[in-house]
Amino acid sequence: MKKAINALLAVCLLAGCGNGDALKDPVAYAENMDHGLRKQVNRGPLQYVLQYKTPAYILDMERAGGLEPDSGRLAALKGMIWFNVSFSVPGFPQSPLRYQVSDVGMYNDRLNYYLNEAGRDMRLLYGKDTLYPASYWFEHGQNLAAHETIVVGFRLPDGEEEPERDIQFSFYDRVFKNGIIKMQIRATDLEHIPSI
Amino acid sequence: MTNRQAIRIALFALLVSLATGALVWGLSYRDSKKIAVVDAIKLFNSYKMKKELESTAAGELQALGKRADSLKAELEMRSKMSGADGAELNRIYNQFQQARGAFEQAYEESNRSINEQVWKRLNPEIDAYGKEQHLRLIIGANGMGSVLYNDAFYDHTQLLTDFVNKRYEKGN
Repeated sequence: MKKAINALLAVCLLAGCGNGDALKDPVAYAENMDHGLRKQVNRGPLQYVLQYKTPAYILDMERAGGLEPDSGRLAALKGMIWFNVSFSVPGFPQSPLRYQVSDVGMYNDRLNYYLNEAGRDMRLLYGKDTLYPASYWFEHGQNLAAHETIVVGFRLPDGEEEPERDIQFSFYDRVFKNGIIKMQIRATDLEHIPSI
Repeated sequence: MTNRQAIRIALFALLVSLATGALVWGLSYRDSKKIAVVDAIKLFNSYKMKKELESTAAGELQALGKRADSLKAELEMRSKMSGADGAELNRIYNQFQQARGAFEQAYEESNRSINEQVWKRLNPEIDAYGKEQHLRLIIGANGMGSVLYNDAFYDHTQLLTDFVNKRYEKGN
């Protein structure tokens, strides 16, 4: 019996240590669906992945991509709410921009929408304030990947450095017309993000 | 009667009561499943995504409508002027017809697209509600005579509207 209890304690300790490591990793923490900072929704043939990104998350991803951020990078990322919006068509091995495209004109219209117009169809409800994108970037995958990604940033009001209120992100994708997609992040989920 | 026989009888009695209990529970569970009636038009019009899609489309439609209105006003003004150029009036009239056609086409397309998107989103939500509420059947009343009468007991319109709107705001 004593042995069994000891073994159980060891397993619990190991599990606790593992979790602690995950908590220290901003990317692993934010990408864990249980923490409420990532959402995956299927709408029609499309799959959207909405990812809330802390400045630490962005810095880690940049380092993973071989970029060494300079000292001012963290300060530049603060005061904003950052999201990645990735979309793909499950089972379709090419860029979603090519999905059921009938001619090059249709493809170019889609590309133009994501490059220049989709930002106008995004907004963020921050507490009672409605925020519009202050930064928008479409990372065109050039059909090298079966997904596309939009990076969008909203400037926090009143010079706030970090979000403290409930957040609701919404996006209406006019190309695929699957209705409005929303993601809600509670202030409590933001409070629980470990300071790294 | 030996102790063994007594235990056997007791076990048998226990099994019989368990089986009876399960049967009664199963039947009452089946009977507890209900039929619901929902006013489909009210549900559709109260769905927040529908209202938001309409307000998104309103900007573009208003711009097209204003273009047609201003051409119409110009046409009326010029036609009242003495010595109006017939060719010029014809040109403006053609522009007005085109603008009005574009507005009507955009309006119809917008309505069709919103209808399609809203029902595509509502249908699985109605399924989810039916399962959560253990309903056996949801009848969509639409004022066209498919449901002639239902009392308030069966009317789930408000409950379903609250359910779909709550889930929509949460991003489901």
